[in-house]
Amino acid sequence: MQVWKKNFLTIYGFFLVIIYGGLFCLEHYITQNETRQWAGHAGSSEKSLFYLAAGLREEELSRMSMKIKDAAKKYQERDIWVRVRVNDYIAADYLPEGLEGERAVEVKPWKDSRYLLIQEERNVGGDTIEVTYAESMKELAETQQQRLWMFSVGGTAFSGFIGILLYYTLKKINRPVSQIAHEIRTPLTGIRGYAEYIMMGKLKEEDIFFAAKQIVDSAKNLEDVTEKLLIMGNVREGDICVKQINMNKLLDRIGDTYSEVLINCRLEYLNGDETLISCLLENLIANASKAGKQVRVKIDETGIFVWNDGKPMDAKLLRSVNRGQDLSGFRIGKHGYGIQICREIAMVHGWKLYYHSGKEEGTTAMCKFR
Amino acid sequence: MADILIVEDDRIISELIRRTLSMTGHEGLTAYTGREALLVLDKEKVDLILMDIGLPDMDGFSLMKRCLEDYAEIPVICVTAKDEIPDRIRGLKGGAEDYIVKPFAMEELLARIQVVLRRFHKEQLVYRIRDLEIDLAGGVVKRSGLPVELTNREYMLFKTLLLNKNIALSRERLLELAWGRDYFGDDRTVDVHIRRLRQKLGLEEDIKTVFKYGYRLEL
Repeated sequence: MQVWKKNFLTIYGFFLVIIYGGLFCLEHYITQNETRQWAGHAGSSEKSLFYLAAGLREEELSRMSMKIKDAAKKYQERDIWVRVRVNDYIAADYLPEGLEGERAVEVKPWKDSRYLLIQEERNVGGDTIEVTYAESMKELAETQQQRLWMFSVGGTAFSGFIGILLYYTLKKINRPVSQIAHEIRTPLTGIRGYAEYIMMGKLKEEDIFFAAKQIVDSAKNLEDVTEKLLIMGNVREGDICVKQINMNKLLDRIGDTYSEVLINCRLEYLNGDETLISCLLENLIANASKAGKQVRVKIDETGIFVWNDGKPMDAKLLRSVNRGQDLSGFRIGKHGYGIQICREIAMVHGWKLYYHSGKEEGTTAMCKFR
Repeated sequence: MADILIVEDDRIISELIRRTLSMTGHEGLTAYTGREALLVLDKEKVDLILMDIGLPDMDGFSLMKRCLEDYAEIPVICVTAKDEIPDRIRGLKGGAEDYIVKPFAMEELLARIQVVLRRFHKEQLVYRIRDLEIDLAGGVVKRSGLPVELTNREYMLFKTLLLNKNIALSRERLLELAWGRDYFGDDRTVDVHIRRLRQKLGLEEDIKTVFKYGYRLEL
């Protein structure tokens, strides 16, 4: 397994523990609070019944019984079962069989639900009043279960989102590493191969010269790649030196290398890092020269535009390039790394690089100043 | 020997492979783009394709798919800088007979080509060097029509030199190829066997000593 994938799994595992652990703690806290509040409310309700019985104890037994039964029926409608006893007289008994408790307060399962059972027995003015109160916890349990589901679904969705985000971020970080390996391998093959070629065979002098030349060319390519890597490293470190660049001098230097390129510069000075801007221009011009026969460069207050008359870029590829997606050599020939560097140089200057390509109008690399 | 199509956009590497193949007696045809490769396949007789995956006009996987559809009898070996496992799997599942990652040793490439050609029965099995006739299928070496008695090691050594003709092989490499990776003997063993081979086959002039390196069968 690749190192970055291992890193991803470790970090993601850590995230999952944090996400689900956090949700579990939150759920536990809310549930506890809610249950406490609900139990408090049930206690008050039981007390009301107790005080009602205490207030009616001096009335005639049948009247007292009738009023308490009225109250008990209303309780029953709310899935609350009660039994009230005054001395030896049972004023109301709606408590189902099997729901009796042993302690003053307890939670007792009965049928398909759990009940909070409160039993209070006190002496009021010489009379013993006993109230047994059982309230179903079904509704509370349902609310809590619903919340638990919501938390689980929310947690799964959130951790999924974090996972995808993390995966692509780590993949993106790792991508330049595999690109570097890819870019270096090609010239290395040439160097190793021609060195072996010289060693292996019985060669004529011109063959040896040819092989040596290929080794030198491949080494130059390798040098070019490492140069680009160093520049990219500096860009990523943010190690840039912004100053006023004399565009005429810069373009004269580039013009020496690309004499066939038409350059139209309307800017005398440009603010930026001279080495990076020079690298950006050289890369854009080199790519354009490889793609088409005619290349034109225009630089004005709005940006840098490098046009070539080559074959238009494939629409899918163009979209990928403009979105900054995978720019490996596999997808855009040998210039993938060059474009990547150009984009990073543009970004570090606060500019935006994108391509425009069509059948009639050719391909233009546009680096717009913001 | 085989006609091998090299589909590689990097001209330096393409030329390197072509030259190496030519040294061992194979014919190397070159194509720098996918379209060029299809044109060559259309016109020429090809025994094997060495294909780079990163081509400028189309990706090698699509080209391989087209090759397998239209030229199913031609085996493909992927030669690429892409070394990630998903790419290798994609290449091999896509129909490649082998997958070799850059940078590679030329001897390794030649060995893999040999294996694939053998698998497709396109390997040259009978070689003739002056009065010698070597039948690789039967493992028989004849000199002026009469069988030459060679030990197993001598035969393997000669076969290795023959399959890598015109290429200098180091003593270590010869030991590895002819004796196998597990052999822990002195590489001077090679010298003794080469001396015997020269005598038995009359190849005193053809098996050259490469100073401080190894041997080469020059044909």
